[in-house]
Amino acid sequence: MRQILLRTTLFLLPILLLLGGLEYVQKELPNDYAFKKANFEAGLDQWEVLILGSSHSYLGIDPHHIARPTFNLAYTAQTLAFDQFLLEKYIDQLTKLKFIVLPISYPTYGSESYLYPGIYNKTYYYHHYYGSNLFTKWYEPENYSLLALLTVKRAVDQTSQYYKGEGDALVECDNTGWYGPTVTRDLEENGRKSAGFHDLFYDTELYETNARYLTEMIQLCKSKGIHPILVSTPMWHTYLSGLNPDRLQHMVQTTDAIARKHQILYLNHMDDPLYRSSDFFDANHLSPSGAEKFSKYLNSIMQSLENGQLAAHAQPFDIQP
Amino acid sequence: MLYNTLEFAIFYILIFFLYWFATDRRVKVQNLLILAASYFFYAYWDWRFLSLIVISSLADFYAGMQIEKAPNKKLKQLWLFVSLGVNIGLLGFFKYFGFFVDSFIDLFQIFGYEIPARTLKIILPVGISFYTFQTLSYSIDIYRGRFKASKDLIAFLAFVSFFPQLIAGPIERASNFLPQFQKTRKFKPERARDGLRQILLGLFKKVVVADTMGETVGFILESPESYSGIVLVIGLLLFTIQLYGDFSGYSDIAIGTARLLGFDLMRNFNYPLMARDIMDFWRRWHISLTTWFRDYVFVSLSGGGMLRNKGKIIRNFFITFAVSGLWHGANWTFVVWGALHGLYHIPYIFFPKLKSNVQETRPPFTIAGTFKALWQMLLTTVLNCFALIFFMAPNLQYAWDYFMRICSPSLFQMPERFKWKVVWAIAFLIFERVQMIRKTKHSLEIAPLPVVLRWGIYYAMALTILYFNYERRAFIYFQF
Repeated sequence: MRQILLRTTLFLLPILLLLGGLEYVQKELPNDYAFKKANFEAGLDQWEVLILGSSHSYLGIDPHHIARPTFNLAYTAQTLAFDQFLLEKYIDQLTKLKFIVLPISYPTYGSESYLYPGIYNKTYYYHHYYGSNLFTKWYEPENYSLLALLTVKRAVDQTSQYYKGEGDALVECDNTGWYGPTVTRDLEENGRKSAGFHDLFYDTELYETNARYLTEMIQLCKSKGIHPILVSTPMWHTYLSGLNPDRLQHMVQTTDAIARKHQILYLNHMDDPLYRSSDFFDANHLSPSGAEKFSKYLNSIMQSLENGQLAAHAQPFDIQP
Repeated sequence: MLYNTLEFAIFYILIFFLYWFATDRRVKVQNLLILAASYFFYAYWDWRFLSLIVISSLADFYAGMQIEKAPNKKLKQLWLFVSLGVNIGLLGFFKYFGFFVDSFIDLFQIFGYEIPARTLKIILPVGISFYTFQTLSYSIDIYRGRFKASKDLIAFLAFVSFFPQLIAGPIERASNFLPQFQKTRKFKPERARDGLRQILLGLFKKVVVADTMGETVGFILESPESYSGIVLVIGLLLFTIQLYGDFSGYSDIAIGTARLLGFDLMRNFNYPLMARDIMDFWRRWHISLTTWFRDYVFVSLSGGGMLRNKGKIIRNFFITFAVSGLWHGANWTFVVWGALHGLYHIPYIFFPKLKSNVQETRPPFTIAGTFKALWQMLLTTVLNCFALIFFMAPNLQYAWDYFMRICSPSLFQMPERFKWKVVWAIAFLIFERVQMIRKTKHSLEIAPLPVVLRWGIYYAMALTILYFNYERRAFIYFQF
């Protein structure tokens, strides 16, 4: 038996060394999380507006069109638990913060990205870069290893991309944290697929937990004198029509109730006819032109709130986009 | 806990070392460890269903003893029915309850009666079709006087729940497998080496062959209406290879991991894609299930002997294959798949000479012989692929639409996509053919090769597995 164990170990050793090396290299490669964190932390004492949320705000709110120092800390599949974690971690260091934009979309109340399987699970990044301990299963290797999360193929592909001099492609956002994709997708097909995808990990049992996260964030902001603004970014009709109507209604009604209770703004522009097909990157994300339109509108809202022209608890019908 | 995950690797290595080094190689302690590991392995999926294995095992353990002790045939029968009732009851409730209720509702609707659709949403416990069949064969064999009831409860529980083959077989017979739990196991280096090779081969088949085919098959099955007839045919061919790679890969891993613990599991696949007629195919595909149905359904229907009445033989073939189809899943598509295979057997009943000479061609090959073999394999593949339309379809309408789209002028176009996958599929089939001619039990029986070449092959396979292991698809047969 000793001989077999020795030979098996000898056989596995180079493979394990190779994997270890790949893990190390992978950790050293640039990525959005590291880039965002560095830029965000470099300006902690200057940000007046902070954007949180998932890809809908990551692509949909462009800080360049907001007339005050703004950072977009949103990211793909960043659900409310991570939003709350980041807010609590940094709020005391954000000395000039006046507004927090909290986007609400269809998956918001029924999803939790640290429960997602495989590549969709973002636990590793928040643990590694921000020290989050939001795990469901602490023992899963994906929480600690990029190789386990990304798999060898993706890790090899990314590493070769970097060493071919295409490292810039590994970071998609700019130094304000915003990402504006230059390509577009087929809105018909994408609408159907995205709507189905957002139901894939949807769990109605998360409703209460997510509503609690949102409420606690609002209370925290208000206690610090910061305006929380709830927004739902525009979506293309092919996406909206593919969503489960009960869940969609739950999202709107819950957000509306929370906004009324805490006397804050909820700007629901999901079905806004002002946004045309050219304003969309895909059926549920804005393109750079759409993001510009929406960010300028958001900027005007913030100015109105600051000037006292708009009550913090005004309802959407009071506001002319 | 899938076999191609780090979790399983850690779990298995831990069990391996405990098994050989912490048990003092005492059989009872080893069995206890296997039992604990198997229950943990199963509970990792869903602990709630662990009770089902325990119920099924205890019922059969007790029924087995009672059958053996019973003084007369009637009492023996009664205890056999208890065993059948518990196992088929569990299987029937968890796997088929919703299906039968839905089918009744549909049937009544045909005649214009509306029945309020109130079905229970029952989760299918993983592996239930496999372990219930394994324990059933134990009770039936005791009833038939072919096997003595076990007196060792721990060994019996470990036999039913043995983790390497718990989820998807091979469905072992008590006569082959249970005695292995009762005798001292020795670590034999040559067997262990072979076990390791078979694990590597199984992972390769699953990750590199099945999952890469599965990626393409997934695209095609998701929207068959957007592809031409020829691409749908390619989809069927790739699905055949995916299914084979996935399931035989699983079986290889199961056999390899069992072998490292000193157990011999039965062979489950014998190059079925090289079969030269449908009967030959069923002798090579999912052997443990096919022989189970042969011994416990077909033979029982035939009254235990050879039938001369052709009508009855046809009936028995149909029943056996339809039940076999239903075993795969609670859906009419599987019944049709099984019935088609029953239908394919009819010509051989009337014209036994049609059966190909399945003894493998030995060198020197003749051109005519090779072409004949190729033609027979092609015909068998076509028949198989046609039946597989129903196997992979979510419903009968989908299967019909898929078939009708194949039967369109677009069947004769050049395929617009997936040409490289076809090349890969053909290369795999040639590889299988060569291995079959080599008469190896599995493709990695390469001991005569120089060590450098062997290790080169192992490294190439291991690195390819690591690279392609990005989908982490569940094994197809886990859903059955």
